[in-house]
Amino acid sequence: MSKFPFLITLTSKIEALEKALKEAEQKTAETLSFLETQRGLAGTILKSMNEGVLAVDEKGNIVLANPAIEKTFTVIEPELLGKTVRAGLRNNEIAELIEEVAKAGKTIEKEISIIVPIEKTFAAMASPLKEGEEKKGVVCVLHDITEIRKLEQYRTEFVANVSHELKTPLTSIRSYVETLLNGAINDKEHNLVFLQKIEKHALNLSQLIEDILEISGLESKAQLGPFVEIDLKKTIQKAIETIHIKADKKGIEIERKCGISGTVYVLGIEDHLYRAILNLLDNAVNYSSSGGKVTVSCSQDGKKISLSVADTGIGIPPEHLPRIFERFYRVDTARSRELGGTGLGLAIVKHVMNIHNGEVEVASEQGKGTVFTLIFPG
Amino acid sequence: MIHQNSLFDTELGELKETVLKMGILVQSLIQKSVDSLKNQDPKLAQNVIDDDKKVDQLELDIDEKCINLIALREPKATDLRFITMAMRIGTDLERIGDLAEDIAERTIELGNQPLVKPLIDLPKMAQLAQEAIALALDAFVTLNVEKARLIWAKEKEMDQLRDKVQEELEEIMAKDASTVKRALPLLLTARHLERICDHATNIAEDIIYVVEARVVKHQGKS
Ligand SMILES: Nc1ncnc2c1ncn2[C@@H]1O[C@H](COP(=O)(O)OP(=O)(O)O)[C@@H](O)[C@H]1O
Ligand SMILES: [Mg+2]
Repeated sequence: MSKFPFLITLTSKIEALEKALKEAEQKTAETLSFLETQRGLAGTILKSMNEGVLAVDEKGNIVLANPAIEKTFTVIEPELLGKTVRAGLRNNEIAELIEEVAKAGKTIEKEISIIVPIEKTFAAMASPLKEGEEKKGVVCVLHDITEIRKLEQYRTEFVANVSHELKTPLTSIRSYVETLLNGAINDKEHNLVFLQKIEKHALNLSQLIEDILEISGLESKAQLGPFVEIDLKKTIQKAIETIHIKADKKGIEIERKCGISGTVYVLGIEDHLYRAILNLLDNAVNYSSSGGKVTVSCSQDGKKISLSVADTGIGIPPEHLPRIFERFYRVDTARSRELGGTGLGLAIVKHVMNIHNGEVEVASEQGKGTVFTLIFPG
Repeated sequence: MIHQNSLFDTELGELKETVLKMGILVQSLIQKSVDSLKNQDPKLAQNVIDDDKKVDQLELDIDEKCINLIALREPKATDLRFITMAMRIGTDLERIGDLAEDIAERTIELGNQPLVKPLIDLPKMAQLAQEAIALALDAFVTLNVEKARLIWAKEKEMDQLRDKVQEELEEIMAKDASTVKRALPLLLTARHLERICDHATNIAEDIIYVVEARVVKHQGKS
């Protein structure tokens, strides 16, 4: 052994080296698999994102497009790679945003709308990609805000409509009050008529407010309260009792015939359901002339339970049928106002059926009558 | 196309981008103009009329780029053909922009007079016109002759739809002469859309000319 001491040193050195190499190898493998996982992870994140992610290189050619982009623009990533945004996505606004960011070297946010292949609105955010100080292109994230914008538009229109509808009776009330104050109060022949008109408009106004509150109540799902078993026949009876006075006055008969024996239960919220049925009955009476007949019936098909309100009234012209469930949509606005309508009745019915996972259908023939049917999933 | 000069390539790339930009813009104008007619939306129509100025400006940009390339870079035969093609495509796209503007003017003419019939075929024609332009742009970017040839099928379909719309409207007008004033803008729109498709076919012919170095004008139309 002592004969070749350097050999021993050498062997141990080689061993140490081997060990170090193995360790290094181990580390490299670990790092590599870590990197692999990282890349896999980044890929998975990109793939499952709802937001569209698009990256271009410093020449403006696409180097990455995630599935959300593929879906929005009905393209596949391989077809996009190496193309400019205009060539690949056929969109000027996104191309311009990316050009702007590349030039300015800073993040820019912008709202972008596309019309092809479908109309959509995006909140787009693009940032420069940098490696140190070197520019490496631009990454752009598209967040779909189509629904939010639509909802906002819807809200704005609703608010505009509501204020118009509120102003109409208010203006009338104020002008009658003014006339009374200006001396008509002593005009025995007219003062009563004026007061009756004021009362009518005030009633319209409070009905309108009630309907608006009902709608906003229906919209905030959190405040809806729990579903319970409702005795449908009982609820129908209650609604008929409410409308009876009005129907009697107009000479309209209300008939009840239920095709299901025993108690009929549906799951839901009684107050809202009652209002929906009442709205249908109210319309049936309003849009029929005296001598008419309103029939309320229910039937069962498998688990599904249907409730129909049929009248023998004026009917609805076919071109209006698709729109009557819209808020404030009326076939004849003057007539509806005269009858104390708010234009919200059917919108409420539709909403109520929505929260009950049900549907509402309508069939109508002009001059013959109309049938509204509420369908519960059972 | 092979060049030593990468600056030349960059400039050619920019020219391509500008043509694409113009193509994408006129496509959206066609969509908007017919939407404005369908929804009787004069605001949107005015929007189209205003945007047509951008189209005109882009044509000037393209011309300027092409002239500079020809004057300063003395391109070889194939490149020269490509550059002159880009100029001609610019002219066709500019005409398409004008036709979209014409449709928007029909919307304004019509105002809020009720439509004589619900618009179903005209939006279909607008869709076809856009598809034809999309194909033309595809063919332009990739110099793909097969894509260019697909445009003739679109044109054929377009002509059939135009005939159908024309017949229907003529029938409506014959039945009730008071509808003429409302039917005419729709009839004209059908013609505008058909002419848009004709311009897309022009582009296809130009592309085939560049790629195959031969004139195909009025071929394959039978
Ligand atoms: N049973 C019916 N018969 C005829 N028309 C109806 C009937 N129900 C609803 N309509 C039409 O639908 C419109 C919208 O109804 P609704 O939302 O209840 O509002 P309104 O307050 O005007 O009654 C009414 O203005 C009326 O033109
Ligand atoms: Mg009502």
